[in-house]
Amino acid sequence: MHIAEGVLTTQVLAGGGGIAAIGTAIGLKKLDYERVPRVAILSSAFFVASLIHIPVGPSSTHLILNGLLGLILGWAAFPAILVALILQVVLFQFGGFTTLGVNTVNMALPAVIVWMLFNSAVQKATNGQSNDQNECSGRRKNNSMLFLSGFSAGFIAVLLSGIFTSTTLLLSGSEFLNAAKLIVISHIPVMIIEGIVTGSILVFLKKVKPEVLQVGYALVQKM
Amino acid sequence: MYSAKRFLPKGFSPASLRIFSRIKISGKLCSVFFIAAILLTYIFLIPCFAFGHRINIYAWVEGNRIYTESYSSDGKLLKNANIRVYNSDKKLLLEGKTSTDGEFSFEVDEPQDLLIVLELGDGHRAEYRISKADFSGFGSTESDGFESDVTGNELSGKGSPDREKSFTKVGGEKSGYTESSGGQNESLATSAYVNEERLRKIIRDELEKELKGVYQILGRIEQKRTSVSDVLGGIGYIVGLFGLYMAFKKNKNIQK
Repeated sequence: MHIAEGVLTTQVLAGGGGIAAIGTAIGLKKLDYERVPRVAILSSAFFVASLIHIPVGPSSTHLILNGLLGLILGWAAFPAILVALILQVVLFQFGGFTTLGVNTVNMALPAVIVWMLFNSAVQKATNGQSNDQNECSGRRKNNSMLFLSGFSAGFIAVLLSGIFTSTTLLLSGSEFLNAAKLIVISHIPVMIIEGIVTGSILVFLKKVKPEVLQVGYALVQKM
Repeated sequence: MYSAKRFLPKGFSPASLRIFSRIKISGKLCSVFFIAAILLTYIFLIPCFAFGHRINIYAWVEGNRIYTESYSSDGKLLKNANIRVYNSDKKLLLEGKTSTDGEFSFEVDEPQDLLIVLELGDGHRAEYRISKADFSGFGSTESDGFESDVTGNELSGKGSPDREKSFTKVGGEKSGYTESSGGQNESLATSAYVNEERLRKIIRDELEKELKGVYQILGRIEQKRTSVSDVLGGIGYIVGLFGLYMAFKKNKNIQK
């Protein structure tokens, strides 16, 4: 999913850089000072996730974790992913310096979209006061709702990343359909695995540290 | 304070539930466990860290032929990948696809700077530069000691007149025969020419076979592997950068 140097045209690189700058500015503005260490932890998680590679037939892909980052960080996913990508370029030569903006947008924008789509479902499942007589089944229902939202978030985030990457390649002249097929199909195992991972982590967090899933956990409380 | 009971999966016996409910864990300890669990999970996955996700192409020159090998950084050879060769003026000289062994080779007419580009369709790209100086063995398909012109014609096997010229020269110089009896001289010179030529060819072919393995090893060494120290360094940098940001913001808050 990281686009390497020399593949894209200058206009696309500039456009991607611009959108990434705007997104990062919004993310930093909404970031609460007290919560910055936790953003750092999730950024490190994203940084390391790209090393966990999943063999897919002849080639292999890697975990992305942008769904999880989106759900927990919201707009702060932009600076988190940007920092992680910078370090991946410097230390592992993943992607490129000129493509930082484009790669950030391709991974962080789906994170924010997924946050907007699933945030309310996650809140309901986390805070859900079950009025059932049987508290157990109510909790189980909440947990399965949470897992389902997490799975969908993880799945859709990777899918959108694949589509955005294909669009970026299309804008630089390569054939969209071929690139899209190549990227999206080869990432279907990643989508499923990430969905499961995101859902499981959400359920685990609800048990262990539910305040992580609160609204605007990393963001300033008043907008 | 959280009761340890909440960490138990359902279905435990009431006795164990009672025991666990007496154990209280502070919130801070919970955070520590949470972070430690994540770190441990990553540490167990460290064997996977040796592989990144880049693609690499390595090329070497033998005579007038350039061999390339293309592979992803987890060691898999890239089959049917697009290869393009450009000269120093960014002009496309030729393109092709790698074989099922990830190899692609081609010949050149003269030593020159070349840029070999490997590109998959999904945004992955790698390149390798060959400079004029790498062509040290160019023209060694012709035996040394013959003062023949190394031209394109020579290499493609044409140019027998030159061969005959050098053929006579060997007879005159290398084998040390006097030019007394012309006929015998020529037949002796023929055998000397053929033997030396064949010997050189045999040596060259054997060396090529041996060197191919060496070049492949060099290609692997050249490729930078991600190591645990890189991962830990990266995490350190991330935490440090966000820490700097916090310090910067704190100063701003204080000033306010």
